[in-house]
Amino acid sequence: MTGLSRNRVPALSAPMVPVLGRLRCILQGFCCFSLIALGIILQNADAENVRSLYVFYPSTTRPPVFAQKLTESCPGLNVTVFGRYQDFSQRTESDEPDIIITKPPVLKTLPPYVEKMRGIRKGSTEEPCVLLSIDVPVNQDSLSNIRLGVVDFLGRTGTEGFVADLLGAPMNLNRVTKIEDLLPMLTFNKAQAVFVGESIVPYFKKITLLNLVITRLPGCATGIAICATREQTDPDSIKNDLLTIEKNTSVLLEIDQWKPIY
Amino acid sequence: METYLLMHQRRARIGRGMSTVALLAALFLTQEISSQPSVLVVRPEGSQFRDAVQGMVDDLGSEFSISELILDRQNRSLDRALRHIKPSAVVLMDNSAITGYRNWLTGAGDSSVSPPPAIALMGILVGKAIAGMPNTEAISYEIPIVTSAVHLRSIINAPIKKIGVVHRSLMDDLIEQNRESCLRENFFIINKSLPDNSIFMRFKLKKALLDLLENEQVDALWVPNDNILLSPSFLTMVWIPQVKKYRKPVIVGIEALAKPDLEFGTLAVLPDHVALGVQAVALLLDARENKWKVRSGAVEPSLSVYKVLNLRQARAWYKVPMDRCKVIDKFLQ
Repeated sequence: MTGLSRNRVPALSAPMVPVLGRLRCILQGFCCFSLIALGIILQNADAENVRSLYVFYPSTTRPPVFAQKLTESCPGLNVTVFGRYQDFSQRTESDEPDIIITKPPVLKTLPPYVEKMRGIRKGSTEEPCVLLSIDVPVNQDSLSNIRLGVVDFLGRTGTEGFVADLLGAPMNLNRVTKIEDLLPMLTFNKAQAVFVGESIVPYFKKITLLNLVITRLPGCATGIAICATREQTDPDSIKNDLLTIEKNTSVLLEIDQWKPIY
Repeated sequence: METYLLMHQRRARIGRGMSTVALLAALFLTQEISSQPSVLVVRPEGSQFRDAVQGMVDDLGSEFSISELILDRQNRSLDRALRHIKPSAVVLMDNSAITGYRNWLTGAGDSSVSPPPAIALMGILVGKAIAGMPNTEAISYEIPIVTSAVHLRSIINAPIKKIGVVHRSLMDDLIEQNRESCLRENFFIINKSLPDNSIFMRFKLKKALLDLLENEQVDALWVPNDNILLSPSFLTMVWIPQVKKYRKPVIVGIEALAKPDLEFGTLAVLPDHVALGVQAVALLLDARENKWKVRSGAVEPSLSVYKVLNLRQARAWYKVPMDRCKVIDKFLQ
């Protein structure tokens, strides 16, 4: 009997098993689909909430290190750091990030952005520009006769215009993308002096044994750092992100503090 | 090898596989409407060459029109391109392009095209390669030792004065050229020159390395990009065991040699190809100012470099703190 009943039970329930199995599969599938869909919706909602921050800020910190530190300092922001002006301006034009951090002259080339904070160092939003040369200072009366090394942070014509505005006349320039590449220019006499912000001088003095001489340029100064948002951005919606930047990024940008404009 | 010509638009990426006929037609059209100076870039295929051209295109904008020729084995395409484009200047990338242009110059006596000035880059020992070529100057592809050594010194937590170099005699001139610039930064190059060819190369290499590391007690090694001295067997049997034994920092010129698993290179210093393109633009602009005359035979050093650090080795052997690594472009660990 036992054997029969054993036989009978499977015989009777045989058609039921696949049906129940199928139902269970459908139910499981539906649950999985729902969970995935929910996940995607939440992720999109999150992505919509995460602000994008694009940074082009020529410094002695290379973009990968800069991006990593900035991401750690501003966890709520999706950070991208650029090493070249062309890449930054193209991507900013196409992607329209919510916030940008850059040098003030660069902002002038990006019309849909308005400044929200300015970087302050030693109590000023501007820093003096100086010339660095080897062994002898630069004779400022003969600037147009020498070749100056400069970091290209506005493209060729933009950088030429920027330097000409500050020094009062067009100059013979040799350009590099990275600040540290200015040193080989001096070493190999590809430039008789390099044109830099005063804050960069300690870096060069630290890495080289060349006798670097500073020539100060009275009245020659440029903005340090600027943080800007898209023109149409609702100020309230971005307030917290700007506060995060204000609190957490000054050391990395080598400024003393941010001065809010809003 | 595929041959094609392509007119560049500003910021346009470089395409592939366009037919020569169609492109030549485009060239005729562009020549008619364009009053800008034209530059012909002659180069092999490869991403690093494309990067250098991109640097040029980004920097020149629409001020120059840039055409490209991917060299085939014969020079017919070069001759055809030069006749049709009549470029104001040519940019020669790699030794194959330099040789191709040199051959064209040799046979150009009956040509209706007067040779344009040439700027050569991304060629091995480019100074030797352009020797004797009229109206041709170059940018060296070899990174100056002083540039690499300054970066290593700024990272490594140890004094670096004596830099050991083992090279073949074909690099004698290059090493001598580097000596003076190194001295200005208080680096002393201690070199061992090996014959260009020898059946005892492995033993000579080992002896030279031992001499540098043990007798001369160099602080670091600078390894030239020489595929004979860096053959896989020499690498595994000579270089790596010595470096592991003496634990001296090693500057290499190839990223793969700084891979942590290899336990060899500490810092790879490579040319920044986009920046090389920008540096070539500066020479083109100078040439335009000088009525398309360049400084024949002059060789400029590469100014911009890309730095890759073997972080695992740097931390384990030299206790490198991260705040010294700000200028590194890429970390391997």
